[in-house]
Amino acid sequence: MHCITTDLPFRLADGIASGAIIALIALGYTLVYGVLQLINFAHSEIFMFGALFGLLFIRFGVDHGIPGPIVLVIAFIPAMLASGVAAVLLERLAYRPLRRRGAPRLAYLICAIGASLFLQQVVRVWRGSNPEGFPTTVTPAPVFTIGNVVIERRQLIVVIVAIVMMIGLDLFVNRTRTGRGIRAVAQDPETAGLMGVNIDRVVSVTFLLGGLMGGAAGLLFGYSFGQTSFSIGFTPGIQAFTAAVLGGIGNVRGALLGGLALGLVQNISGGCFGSQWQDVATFVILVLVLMFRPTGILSRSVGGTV
Amino acid sequence: MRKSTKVFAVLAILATIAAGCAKKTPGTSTGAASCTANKLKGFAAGASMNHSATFTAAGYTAQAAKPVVELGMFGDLTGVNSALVTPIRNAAQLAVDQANASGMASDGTALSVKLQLVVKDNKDAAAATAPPIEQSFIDNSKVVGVIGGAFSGETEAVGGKFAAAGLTHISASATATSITTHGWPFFRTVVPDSVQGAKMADVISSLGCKKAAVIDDKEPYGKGLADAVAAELTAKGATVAVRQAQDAKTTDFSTLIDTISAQKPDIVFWGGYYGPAALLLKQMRERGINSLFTCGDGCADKQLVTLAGTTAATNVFVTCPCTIPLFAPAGSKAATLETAYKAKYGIDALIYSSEAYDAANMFIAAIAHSGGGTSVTRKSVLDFVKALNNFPGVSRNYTFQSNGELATSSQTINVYPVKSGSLELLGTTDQAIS
Repeated sequence: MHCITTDLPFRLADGIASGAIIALIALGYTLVYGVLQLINFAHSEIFMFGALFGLLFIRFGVDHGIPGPIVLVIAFIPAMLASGVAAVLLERLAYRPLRRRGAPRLAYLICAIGASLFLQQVVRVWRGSNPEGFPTTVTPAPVFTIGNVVIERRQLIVVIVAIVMMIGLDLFVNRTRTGRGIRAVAQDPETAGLMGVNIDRVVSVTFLLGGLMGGAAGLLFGYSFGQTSFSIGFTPGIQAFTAAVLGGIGNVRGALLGGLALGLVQNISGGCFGSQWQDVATFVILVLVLMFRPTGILSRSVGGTV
Repeated sequence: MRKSTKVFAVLAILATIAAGCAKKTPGTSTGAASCTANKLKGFAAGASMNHSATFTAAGYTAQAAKPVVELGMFGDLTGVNSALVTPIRNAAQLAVDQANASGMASDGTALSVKLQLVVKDNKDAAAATAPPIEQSFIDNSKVVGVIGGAFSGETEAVGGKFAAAGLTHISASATATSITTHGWPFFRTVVPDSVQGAKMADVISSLGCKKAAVIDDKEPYGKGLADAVAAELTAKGATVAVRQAQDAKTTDFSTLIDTISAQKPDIVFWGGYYGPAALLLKQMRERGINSLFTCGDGCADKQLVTLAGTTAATNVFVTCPCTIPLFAPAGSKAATLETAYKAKYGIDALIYSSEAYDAANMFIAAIAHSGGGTSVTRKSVLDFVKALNNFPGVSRNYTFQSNGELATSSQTINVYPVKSGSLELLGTTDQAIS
């Protein structure tokens, strides 16, 4: 079993890097679910927007001779903004009218799927069906060793950015006034409303936060793997949704845990059974976890709910 | 909550310190230097195919009311695969326009009819929508031959009614091995995947590659080609150390990269299309895996290099049962086709345009040989195509077997190594074996 002996250091490093991106996307699913009990299936396209606008800015920067590392750092601004704005607009235009009319859950779900297809096709018409490559900004290649674990610069960047984002989000939700509003609406929207919390604003901020995280994830994803296209959100979207459920949907720290667990399980199971089995192994484990802990690893009531 | 926030912060600081202190180690290179694309025979010399140009621009003489003979063409022209099918339509149209303008077929036989290409869109290459198109061609008595389908699924979905109507159909791109087992009047100007896989493996093993990783995208085309490559490599005495698959929708190839870097193969083959191929190639090179990388006709597009980046796209070759005008050496027939195509459409002639052009020219010759087109029937076209013997085309010279497959001598597979950031036609697999 090479996968759990000699290859393990590689697989841990790659699993954590992949998991960190998945966790960032999962935050978007879990935040929105926490507040609205809605699975926002269009979140995978919000993520794709981050990759696309990150790419457009990186291309612009590289063409204008701005040094790669600076371009990459600044690219987080357009990537996160584009995704954040897209998420807020999505809520305003697609979900708020339904909320106003007290539409049933199913209507939200169909609306989410519709919005997902709509955003995908808009980008497809605009950018074409072909994938687009990312210019090199910071060479991901040089390999560092910590002990006997071999680590790429790419993986470090991804993990550090993801951790910084998550700490920021955790602080925001737990320490700020708006964060308290989010938690209040998550616990009991009616009471929160009666206590003077502006629910519409809280919902907008929630979508904005999810969008910002998704945008950062999109840029990290594009930077890591070097491509984006209209359909790029599909697989990471499904994985992130799975991670959110695995960690306990509605729970911010659960999303982190779920993402990392998913990344590691994917990579190690792919190594043991061949990459064609990695998705199968992942979902078997998801089902097993849910059999024993139906609410996920960190259930909603435990630890920090949003 | 506060406690775990601190844990996160400590982790972040540790990671930052680790990044700062870590020592750079040289990239772990895998793959023996002996097994590289540079060793392809003719790679350094830049040997050309030495085809001479045969087209002459003849003056167009307007003639009143010539009888019209039609050729059908169908494929996915508006759906997801339209980028692959548009060159086929364009090239067939170009052949028809050239024949109408010059008043003769490509072999010089005079034409006294006006040719017209009737194009039908089979969106998304769906098998279910192909039979009505088949029927519409049969019902149109002016149609004497059909070019298509472009993809294997839609091509296998038609044929029964074409056979009953005696209508010849030639595909310029459907490569699934099974299509020619049905015994209808079906021909193809390309070579089946099984032959391409075997010939590619022959080239790989001729380069001295001993340990292979064969990966596919789980789709019928990619898996079929990968199976053929793996089987022939094994037969040639190489070890297929990794035989795995990764969904074509995947962007993150890190699991596979870990497996490959642990096995250190000297050649990696991808059965699938250029998008995922570029991802795999780029991520491999970033990990310091510099092994030979090869891929079939699904990768025969300049996007492979564009997406992977020129740094990653070295020690790479692609095979194709096609002669792509864009990558053909100057002075060859394919280069002449590229010039004419670009003049007409303003874009480059891509994959399978030569083969579609050749298919159209076969039909045009068949029509011209039936009294200049005045006595043409579906039967005369079928008989002519069946009897073709070394019909000179852009891609190759064509002779067909009784099942519609190219004769063994016509089953040429071309090798396209990446040379200074671009695919370049080197010659056939037989010429490339060193």
